[in-house]
Amino acid sequence: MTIQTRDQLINAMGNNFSRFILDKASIASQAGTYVSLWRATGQPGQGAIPAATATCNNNTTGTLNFMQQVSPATSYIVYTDLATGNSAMTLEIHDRLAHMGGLNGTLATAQTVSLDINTLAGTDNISERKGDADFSDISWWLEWYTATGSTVVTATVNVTYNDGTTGNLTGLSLAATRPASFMVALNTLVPSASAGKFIRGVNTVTLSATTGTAGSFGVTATRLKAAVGSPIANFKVVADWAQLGLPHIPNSSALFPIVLTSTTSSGTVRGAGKIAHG
Amino acid sequence: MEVNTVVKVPEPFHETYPDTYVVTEVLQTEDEQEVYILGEIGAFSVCYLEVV
Repeated sequence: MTIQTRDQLINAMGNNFSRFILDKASIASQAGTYVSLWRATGQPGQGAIPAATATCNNNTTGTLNFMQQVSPATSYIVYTDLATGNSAMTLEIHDRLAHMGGLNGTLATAQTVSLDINTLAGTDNISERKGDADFSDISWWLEWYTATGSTVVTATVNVTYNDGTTGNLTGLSLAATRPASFMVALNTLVPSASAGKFIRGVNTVTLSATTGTAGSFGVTATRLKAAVGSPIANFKVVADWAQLGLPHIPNSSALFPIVLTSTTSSGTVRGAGKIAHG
Repeated sequence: MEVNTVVKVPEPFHETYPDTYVVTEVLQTEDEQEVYILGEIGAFSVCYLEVV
């Protein structure tokens, strides 16, 4: 069964849930950008830098683990609280579907990514976790693991769309050094010529020139599950099931935090939550 | 190729930068590679430049 009534919801919140703790150390970043807390130390633990394309699941280090359910029972985020060391922060909890790393900031040739959600659908319940069949629920990112150089270059990302066609996204200017944990969204770069299409996979990334430093970055596919704003530093914000939208959490979901920063560090991010089952 | 050379940018960057551009600076990067700066759009390797 699924949770269909308030009584079932209240019962699950009180008696059938997994608790999660968020307690992440601050990491350096850039103001007004998305910052992955995948590599931040704390709880959940620091995630590993990926190499070849791999799916993530609830047991992957860096994710918020929860009790797996036997269908038709399933899971939902029903509560979270949050206090951030910086003001004007937004916390997003994403399901980290798949990732790859090892892209090099000094190569000006096409670098292979080969991260296609279609080919991964049979692993770690990706077929359910990805959401809509047209891949429109998936957020695509370039994610940095080690800073690349200061030379301003353009990155062109070649993708496969939901209809099977391929094409280049609008070039992304990498102005100045991109630090570790910097994330930039790719969905907004679908060009007008491909309007209405959604990204199914990423094939290659090509830099227009060397940035000067190899660094390390990669491609990550996530699905947004919940978001909470933290307008005041060190002030506890609470969001319940209704404010969160009762997001469905399929088995194997690899939940991890991303913050949208207001300043040049992520600040500490502390909170807790409940994932109810039923 | 030198400063003030007019160039076009071929695939895979031509969709984003379809015009002609002027080389504004030639510089060595931290890893000692030569790159060509096309004003505000930044650095390009010589392999992505076509002299007009």
